[in-house]
Amino acid sequence: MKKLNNFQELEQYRQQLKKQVAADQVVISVCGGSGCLAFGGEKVAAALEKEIKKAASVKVQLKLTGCHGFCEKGPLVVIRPQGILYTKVKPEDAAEIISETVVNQRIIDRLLYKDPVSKQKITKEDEIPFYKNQKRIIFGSNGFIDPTSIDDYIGIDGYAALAKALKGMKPEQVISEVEKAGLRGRGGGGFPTALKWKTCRNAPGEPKYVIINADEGDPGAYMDRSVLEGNPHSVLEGLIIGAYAIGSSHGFIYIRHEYPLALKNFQTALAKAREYGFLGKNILGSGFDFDVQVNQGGGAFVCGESSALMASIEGKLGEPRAKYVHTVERGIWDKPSNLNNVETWANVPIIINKGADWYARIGTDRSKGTKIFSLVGKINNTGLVEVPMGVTLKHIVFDIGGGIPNKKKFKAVQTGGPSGGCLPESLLDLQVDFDRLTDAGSMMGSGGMIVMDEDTCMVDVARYFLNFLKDESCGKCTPCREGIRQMLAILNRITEGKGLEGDVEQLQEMSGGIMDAALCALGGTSPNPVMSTIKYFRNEYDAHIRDHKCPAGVCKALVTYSIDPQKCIGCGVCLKNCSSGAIKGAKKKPHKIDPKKCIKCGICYEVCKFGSVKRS
Amino acid sequence: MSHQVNTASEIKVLIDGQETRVKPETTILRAARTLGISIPTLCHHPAVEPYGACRVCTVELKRGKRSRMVTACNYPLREEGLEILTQSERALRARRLVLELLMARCPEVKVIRDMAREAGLEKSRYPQGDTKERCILCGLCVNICNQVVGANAIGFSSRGPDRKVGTPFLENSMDCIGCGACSFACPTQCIKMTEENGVRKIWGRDFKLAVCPVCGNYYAPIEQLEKIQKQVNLPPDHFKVCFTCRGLKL
Ligand SMILES: Cc1cc2nc3c(=O)[nH]c(=O)nc-3n(C[C@H](O)[C@H](O)[C@H](O)COP(=O)(O)O)c2cc1C
Ligand code: FES
Repeated sequence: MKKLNNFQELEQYRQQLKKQVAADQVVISVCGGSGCLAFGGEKVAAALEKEIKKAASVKVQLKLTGCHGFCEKGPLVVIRPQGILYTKVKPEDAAEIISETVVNQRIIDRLLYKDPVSKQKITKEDEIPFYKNQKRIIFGSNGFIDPTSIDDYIGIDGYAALAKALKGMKPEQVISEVEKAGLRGRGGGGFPTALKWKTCRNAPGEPKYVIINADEGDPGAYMDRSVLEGNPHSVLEGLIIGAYAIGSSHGFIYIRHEYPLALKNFQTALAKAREYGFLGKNILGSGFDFDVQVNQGGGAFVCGESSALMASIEGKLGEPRAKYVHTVERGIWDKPSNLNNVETWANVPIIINKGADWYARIGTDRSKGTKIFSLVGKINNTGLVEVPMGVTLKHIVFDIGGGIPNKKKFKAVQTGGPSGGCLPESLLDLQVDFDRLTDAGSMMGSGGMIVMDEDTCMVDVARYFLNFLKDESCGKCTPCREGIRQMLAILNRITEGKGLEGDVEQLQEMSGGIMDAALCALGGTSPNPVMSTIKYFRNEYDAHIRDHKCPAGVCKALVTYSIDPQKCIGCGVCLKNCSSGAIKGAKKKPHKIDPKKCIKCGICYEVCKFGSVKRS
Repeated sequence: MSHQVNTASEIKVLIDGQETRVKPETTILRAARTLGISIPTLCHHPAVEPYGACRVCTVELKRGKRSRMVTACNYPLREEGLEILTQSERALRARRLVLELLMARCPEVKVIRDMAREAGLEKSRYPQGDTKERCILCGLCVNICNQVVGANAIGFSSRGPDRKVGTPFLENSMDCIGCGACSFACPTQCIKMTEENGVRKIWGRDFKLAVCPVCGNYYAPIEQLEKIQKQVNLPPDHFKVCFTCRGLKL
């Protein structure tokens, strides 16, 4: 491919690409996201390819795309233009998909998604509740493009925003468009993006750097990864536009070491963009020069923090620095450095293409646009969901997520990553946006959402997150290194039934001090899991401390298992499953648990079909 | 980010109700000291860049109605209208938190106990650590070694509560010149250095000391003298005589 030298050449090339794709061309898109690949998506794609070759009469284009979001039901296959969605597809289904659906236009009933509520089978992707209730302006393109094909991206109007910005907008106009759109950073803090860009543009010092933060380290979060894997050009295009607005000719992507596919796809995107002339000297004949360098993260969670990330890019120890000069003014090698999250950058081309007014109509008064959440935990539809800012938690958990499995009751949803907070049932009507989540004692963070059911102990949850943060603290400052450890020690003793009257108050006092004194935001937000669980689930703390009871039956030291002789029919299933030989009893006679031998694994409770094992 | 920056003239600040004028970029710590207000510090040392790790110097900074917490050792005063509170409830809570945590980590270290008493703490409520532990991880030794001596012989290893100061991979470091600056700088005297029969032992290595031909005393490790002499490009026999005797001769 020869370089596109100007805007006109790009538009001509785009029209040519669009003409090549006939309107009735059948496209089968197989999800190649990490979830679907784990379920065997690649084998499904290979099998389909073989079948397509066999059926010479049909013209089918096969695409292995990035994540579609509905990971729970993978491997996913979508057949366009009809938009038929097949879920949990196996390689054996390939022949039938080609011969039946593609050739004979017949739907294969068994591969359709069945709505658990209405029990109806749903044929089309955009009609199933999981997708229907989303607004996928960022993530929606994933299903339509092969992430390794720059032509696919150009075909869906890729790089049109870049052309528009370079051709007709001054850098300041780009910034003011982003400002009017109300874009706020998706990496955690929700900082106004345009303000950061403006500060960087006006900061003294050359060169200026622009950076993509792709260090995504929150456990269970994979939205940045999926955007980079599935649509790397959208992030790159955003970065180039931002660089133009800021006046930077040198970009970095700081990408997590554990994301080889995201890295590979992004590197392919870089190479293609250079070949086409979207990177390099004199981009599209505009006179603007820009290129991007790849840096792989060292693997520590704290390296995602801006000053640690920049130290790491400089080749130094990836630790936050204690300075009261923002990295946007003095960052990498003390030069103005503008860092934004993957998803933030991916929003930029959309804002430029559709205009700030269009964009600002989505969302709430102070949080605009959409947000991608990774919905995990005790939820029917695990996956990545993109919703407008301001929808309620209930909408996400129940309408999109399909509610809680196994008829269990909802207890809490944890948002904001490890240092986010847990929100109770009474806040299910909370509108999800930056400020409302913070006001409720949690945060947006990068968009993790972990749903918890009635079997979750909230003290144990706080303990879990604090333990993660203890291990990820860099250890530089005292409050974070020593404070988290000591808070954890108190939580540990509470879950072991050794909690003391006054422990909760001490945790609260420590939380306040740690928030005030910690060096970086990791320490500064680390008390959130504790504070929010105390705020909304104080009764569980009290039950552990005063009554030596774990209401959810999770904390081993506080539960005992016994068998109700009235209900036990002596089937022996519990006895067979008990690994510690703690259960005794003759066949057809009520069994008994020896508390001395019982290790409280709870397996008897799980396997008993008659509800005769009691946990208290 | 849109505060007024005043680079030319002096700026006015209020610290614990007392007013003072300072040059822009002066740290809160310096400004406070000119007023005779003392703020405790542990990781601060005038010879190295502020490290801001111990957090014991945390104070409350007010700008109008807004209040935030900052470390006095490295917060640069740049604008008018700031009020600093070193003894407010919030400042004391932060200071006590840090000191109580350090007391639990290093139960036997006197500097910490004294500082804690000053802040109104007699003992730590947290489970006590190893009584032999004296390192508070303030990083002074590392920063002195890197920034002042230029030897880069010691650094940090491991994360979180397991963080440690030491030579790389905890092996004997060939970069160490035995100067002992780390040991002298350590606020809790936890870096062991001994001298016996003309040999200094530190960081697991033995350093031969040079003998002064005038007074006959051992005065400095030969490796250290060689390094300085090369670094500063002094004549080879510059350090032949010990520092005291050289002073007498001049
Ligand atoms: C401990 C810690 C980890 C972080 N990890 C990430 C991360 O993985 N990705 C990210 O985009 N931002 C992360 N951040 C936030 C960044 O410091 C920074 O605010 C963000 O990248 C700015 O981009 P934005 O304005 O687009 O949100 C982290 C912050 C902290 C304190
Ligand atoms: S003296 Fe300020 S943080 Fe240590």
